[in-house]
Amino acid sequence: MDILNQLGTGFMSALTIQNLIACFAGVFVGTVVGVLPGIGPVGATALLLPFSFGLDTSTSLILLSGIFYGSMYGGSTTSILLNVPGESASMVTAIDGHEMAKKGRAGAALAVSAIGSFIAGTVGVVLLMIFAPPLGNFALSFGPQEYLSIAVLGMLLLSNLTGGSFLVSLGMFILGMIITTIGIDPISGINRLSFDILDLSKGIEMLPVIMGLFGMAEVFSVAVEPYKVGELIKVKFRDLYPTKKELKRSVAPILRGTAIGFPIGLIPGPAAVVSSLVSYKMEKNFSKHKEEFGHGAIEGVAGPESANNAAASGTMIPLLALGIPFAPATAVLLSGFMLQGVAPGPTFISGHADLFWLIVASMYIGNVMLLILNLPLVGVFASLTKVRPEILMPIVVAVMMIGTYSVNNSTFDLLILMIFGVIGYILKIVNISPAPIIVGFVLGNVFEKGLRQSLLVAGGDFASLFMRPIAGSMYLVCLAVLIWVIVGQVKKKYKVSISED
Amino acid sequence: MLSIKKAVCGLLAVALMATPLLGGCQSQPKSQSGGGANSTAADSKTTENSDYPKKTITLINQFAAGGSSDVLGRALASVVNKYIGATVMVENRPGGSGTIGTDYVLKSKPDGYTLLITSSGNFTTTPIVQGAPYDPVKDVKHIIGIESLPMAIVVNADSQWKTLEDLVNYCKENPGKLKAGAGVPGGTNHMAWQRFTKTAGIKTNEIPFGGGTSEATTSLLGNHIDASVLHPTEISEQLKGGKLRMLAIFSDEKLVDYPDVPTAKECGYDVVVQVNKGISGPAGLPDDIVQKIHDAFKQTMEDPEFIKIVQKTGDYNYLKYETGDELKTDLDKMRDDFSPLLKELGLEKKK
Repeated sequence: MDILNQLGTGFMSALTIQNLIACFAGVFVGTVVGVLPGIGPVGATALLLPFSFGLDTSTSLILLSGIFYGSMYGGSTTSILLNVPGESASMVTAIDGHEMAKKGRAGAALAVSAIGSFIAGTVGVVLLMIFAPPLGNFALSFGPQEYLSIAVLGMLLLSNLTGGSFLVSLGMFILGMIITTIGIDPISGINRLSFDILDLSKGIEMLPVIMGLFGMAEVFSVAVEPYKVGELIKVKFRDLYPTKKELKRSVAPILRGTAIGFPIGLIPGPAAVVSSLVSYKMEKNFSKHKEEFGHGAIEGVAGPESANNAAASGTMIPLLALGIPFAPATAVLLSGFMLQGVAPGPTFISGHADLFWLIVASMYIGNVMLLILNLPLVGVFASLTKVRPEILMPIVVAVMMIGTYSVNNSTFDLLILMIFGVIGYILKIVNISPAPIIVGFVLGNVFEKGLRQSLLVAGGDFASLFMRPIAGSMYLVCLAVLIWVIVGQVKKKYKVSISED
Repeated sequence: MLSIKKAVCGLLAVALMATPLLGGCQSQPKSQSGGGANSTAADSKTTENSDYPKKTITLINQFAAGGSSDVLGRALASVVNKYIGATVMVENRPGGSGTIGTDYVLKSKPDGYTLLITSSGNFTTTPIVQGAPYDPVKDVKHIIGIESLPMAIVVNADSQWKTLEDLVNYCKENPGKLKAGAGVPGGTNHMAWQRFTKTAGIKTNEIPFGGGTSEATTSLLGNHIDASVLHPTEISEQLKGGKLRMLAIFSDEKLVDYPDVPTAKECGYDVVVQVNKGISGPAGLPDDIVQKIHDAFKQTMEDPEFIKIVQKTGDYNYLKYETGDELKTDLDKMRDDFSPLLKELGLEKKK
């Protein structure tokens, strides 16, 4: 009852006109930056920080949080329609979402991702509300050894995300890992693979790599193809929304995505990207329509989009309960809090209970607003595909470049965007999926730092890596997965040999 | 369906119109260009650039958005426009432990429109460790010192160490056993820890945490490491919440916010390490522009609006005004201090 009482008070103050406007402005800006490829929550929040000075504390926190979780909604739009990810976490959505769009199901994909985002976002807030204090402490039980074990498990599960040749995927994966080693080594403090080029010492950022491999590459390939009279134009209005069958197929993925995304948000690192990758892999394994994956399976849209929204709620927990930002976007959010004189931390939920519940209430309201905002927009956005590519694509390129530049104000990042655009285009021609590069990129860092820090902590004792409960269980899961895969392979071979006989 | 679209458009319009309303309290810079009238040729040296500033001034933050430099920079930028007579914008150019943004400012035109939120590390340790492409003495003009952030030895509040002496005794009895999260090698946090262990004559197991101080804080809270060197400003909530304990501060004097925590000096270890923040520009900035910038920031530091903001962010008690020359002396002293230590640790970049 206590929770409901406090939530009630939170709603009371969240429902003032000023706070409602702030909430709407936040989720609106969030949706917009989510939709615009390359411009993400980090840039948007940083841009709005100076402006939040003039607002009172609660209003400004509602606004800034709104941008953060709102940006997870819009990201799928350009992924589905143009195969250009709106923000990093939506790269997975593009795989099947864009295939759906090609078949004239763009509206369905957009609607399902909005609904999935809404459900995951709302469930995420409920979980945040109930579990914030205990889960905050749970996140603390993760030391270097645990991060290492998660990275190992992630590598095992995700290395061959999109199927295809195992060796090729492994190569791409290792390439991703190598790219993360560029720059200042976090352990020794020394520059690696930077060739005395100052810009390389900052390392290669994830955003330009993803935008290049997926977005730019798509633009290049559209540019090379002769213009076809859009096959999507014929989509009728009633076809914009998902059919009953599509909705039915989306329910389980949405719930699974929520369930897996939320805990991943508790782990430091690019939770949004990781959660959508994991969810995609999971759906592919669970689906009765495995053959459809990569060719427009709605599960491949519903799952990942829900997962990254749930992860966004999860990421709020270490921020609010510990005062520690686990992702760049929450780091900027934290400075927004600091500038308002409220530093989240262990005493925040008890000491600033009114603010905590206000933010929680505003997140409920914000998620409803996002659904109302996004569902009708499906039609508007879907009509984007009617714009001739020679007009649309240059705009996309411009937006992508502005977005990439705005994060670090670095022209070097634009160069990275272009280089990876070319790499992505070449991979497209030879029909290799660039997704494993991102998996290696995301997990490589966690793996390396985890391994080296764990060994330093233990004085070089390898056995110690397996001796901790959480880490040990992770490795057991790894072992189980390996056995499962090997047994599966043997069975397959056995069956084949029997049928040959 | 059309009506829904209309409703959405209406809502969007309302939101757009409301945004400036919400931010209405922000003050607009007053143009002082009218002051150009008194630019008679009385004193050629000072009137040369009397029309400065004519356009937006960019303050470069060489670290990621959300860090302490970012917060201080934004607080300064929001008030200093009143005194300098132009809009001041913070622009983040992070990377390479701050060398990228620092290099960008030092190589920019010395016209006073591109300034740096100085952070001492970029003029003390990183040029030696990273081999930065700028000269930390010749290429820079320090304008004003604004803040001096102290550093403290921090342990988990549940740990057995109540005083610095406990910790030192433990380390003496168990050499190399204490797990110390000492920041990225060659960073100021790492230097502080090195200085301390050397002075105390103890050996610890150093675990580098390059992912910023938040990573070290998390590991300390989760008991994955035993001790760390952190800025009290960054962990004020964890200290208040009784999760972390400061054993000593590497400052000359005790901190106003934490009168119970002794300085390392008082405990018998003469270690003073802090991070100085201020405003700097490229070498070759004309004296009159330097003076103008200095005066504007000095006035900002005394401005009630600014004080209100830094009281909120927790920076207020660490504000420390210095002239540009004093800042330079501080940084030079720190660099001379760290340089042999870095060489000894093998962290000096070979040319």
